[in-house]
Amino acid sequence: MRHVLLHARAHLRDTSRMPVYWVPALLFPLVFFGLFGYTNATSLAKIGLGSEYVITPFLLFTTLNVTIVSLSAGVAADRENPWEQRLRVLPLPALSRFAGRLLYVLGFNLVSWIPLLLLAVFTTDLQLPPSQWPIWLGAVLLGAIPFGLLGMAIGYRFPPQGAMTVANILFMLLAFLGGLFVPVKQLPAAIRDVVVFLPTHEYQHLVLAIIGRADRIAAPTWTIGVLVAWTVLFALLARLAFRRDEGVRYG
Amino acid sequence: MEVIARLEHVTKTFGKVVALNAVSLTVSRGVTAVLGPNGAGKSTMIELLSGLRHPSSGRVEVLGGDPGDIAVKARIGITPQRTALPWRLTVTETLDLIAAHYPKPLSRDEVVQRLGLEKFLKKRNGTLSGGQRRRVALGAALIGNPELLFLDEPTTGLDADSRDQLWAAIAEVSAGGRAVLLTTHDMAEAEHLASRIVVIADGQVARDGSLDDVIVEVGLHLVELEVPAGTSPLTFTTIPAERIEQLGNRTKIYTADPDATVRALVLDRVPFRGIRVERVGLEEAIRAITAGDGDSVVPVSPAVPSLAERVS
Repeated sequence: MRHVLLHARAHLRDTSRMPVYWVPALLFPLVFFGLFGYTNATSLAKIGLGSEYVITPFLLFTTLNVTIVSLSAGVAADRENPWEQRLRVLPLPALSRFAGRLLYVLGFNLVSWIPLLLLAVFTTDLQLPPSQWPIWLGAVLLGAIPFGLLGMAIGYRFPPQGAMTVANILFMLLAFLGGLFVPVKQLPAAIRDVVVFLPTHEYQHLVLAIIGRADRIAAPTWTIGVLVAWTVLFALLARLAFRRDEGVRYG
Repeated sequence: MEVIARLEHVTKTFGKVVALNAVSLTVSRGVTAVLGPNGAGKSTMIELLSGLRHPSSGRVEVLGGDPGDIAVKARIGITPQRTALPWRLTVTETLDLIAAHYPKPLSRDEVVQRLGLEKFLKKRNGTLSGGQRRRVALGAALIGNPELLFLDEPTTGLDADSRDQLWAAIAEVSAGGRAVLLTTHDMAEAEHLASRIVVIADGQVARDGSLDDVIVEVGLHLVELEVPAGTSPLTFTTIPAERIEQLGNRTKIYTADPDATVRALVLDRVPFRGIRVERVGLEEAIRAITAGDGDSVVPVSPAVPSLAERVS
């Protein structure tokens, strides 16, 4: 665990010295919420509902952006970096390096939420009691793990430019179909029955359910279990992509 | 002699390219220099020994185990050919990060002092000069206190001062009883540091021995003489030689039989003066051994070469 923390810290240090990376990551959710979420939050307030119903999908959207897109791009770029080769000869299992990277991404997510949460607290009617914040944000963080594994799978499978494109397409598709942009009931009927099995839909379901705000989601609670299946699948894909890359690059 | 690492009939192919072909080699304490032209298989050998790659066939053993084992990795250090440092971390952070992975690392201060890194400890790696990066990379290889050190062209591109400093550090490491395997194109580096020379050509071990052994075994001599300006290359047609070079009025004849060459010069009444005969140095010996291999092809002529082949 010490090595996992060491590598996570090294990644965070590295990122903190690259404002061109973290400044947009902080501003993006803020701008996006200002453009598309703020009005919805006001509408909800008029019918007596807290803005956590709206903030949550934006929080997930921000998290998915960092976890799928940024992580896959970072992994793909690092595969070309001699430093990555240097790390491979350290007396350390590959799994520890992966875990370190995943931990770093989760940590970076915490930072990326700050502007959005500050905006939510000061300008919207957030009715979530402070005691529920840790489980709310904890669920967002833990629920991001399968998407981190997906990001790694893409990063190890595709070259940098390709990884960025594939990650963006998947990210947008998953976010849209998972109901992060528009409620599922507004989606075409043909896909409405399927989206409940998408990881993003159940990610949102999990986070809202854990704070008792899943009343507007039609799917039964058991479907949250789908996330476990997706986690296993993405972990297998990440392992497969890593093994393939090892074979091609170092075989 | 204690064997620290060994390759047994190791072949490594990349598609249709055979990088190493049934190579058998042992590595002992002291500095072993692996020489050979680009593409000869030197870096592949280091990658196999450091566990970065797997052999296509044959067996690689390092410190009694598989080079991919964590326990073995904890006892080796490496500087890859391409300097590998995290650009946005400082030198201190890099050394500390690497050191944290080893059971008995050297103290950072010791490595810093040995390699003269004091002045740029707080600088980020990306802001260092090429020479400074090389020194930090060697520090990163040393800080784990390795028993076996792999250095892939460690001083390429360095100025003389930086190179001397690195040589001193490598010599100190070796004197401490560690095994060092280094690849280099710098013959002076091999002569200065290595107690043993391994020459790789066409993916095979072409020579393996001490510096003197390799030179003597090649058996090539240089006959250098001065001839009047305008002397025709045809003058040397009948002189026994492996290769002849003419630069102005200086002529260099590389020959396996210097006595026969000098005799022929006299008998053919070649108008020479200031003749000098000596055994060739390591560089010429390596060129002779690796002729025709890799990217730096230097033809060694057959017994009776044509004039065009012999006069360059």
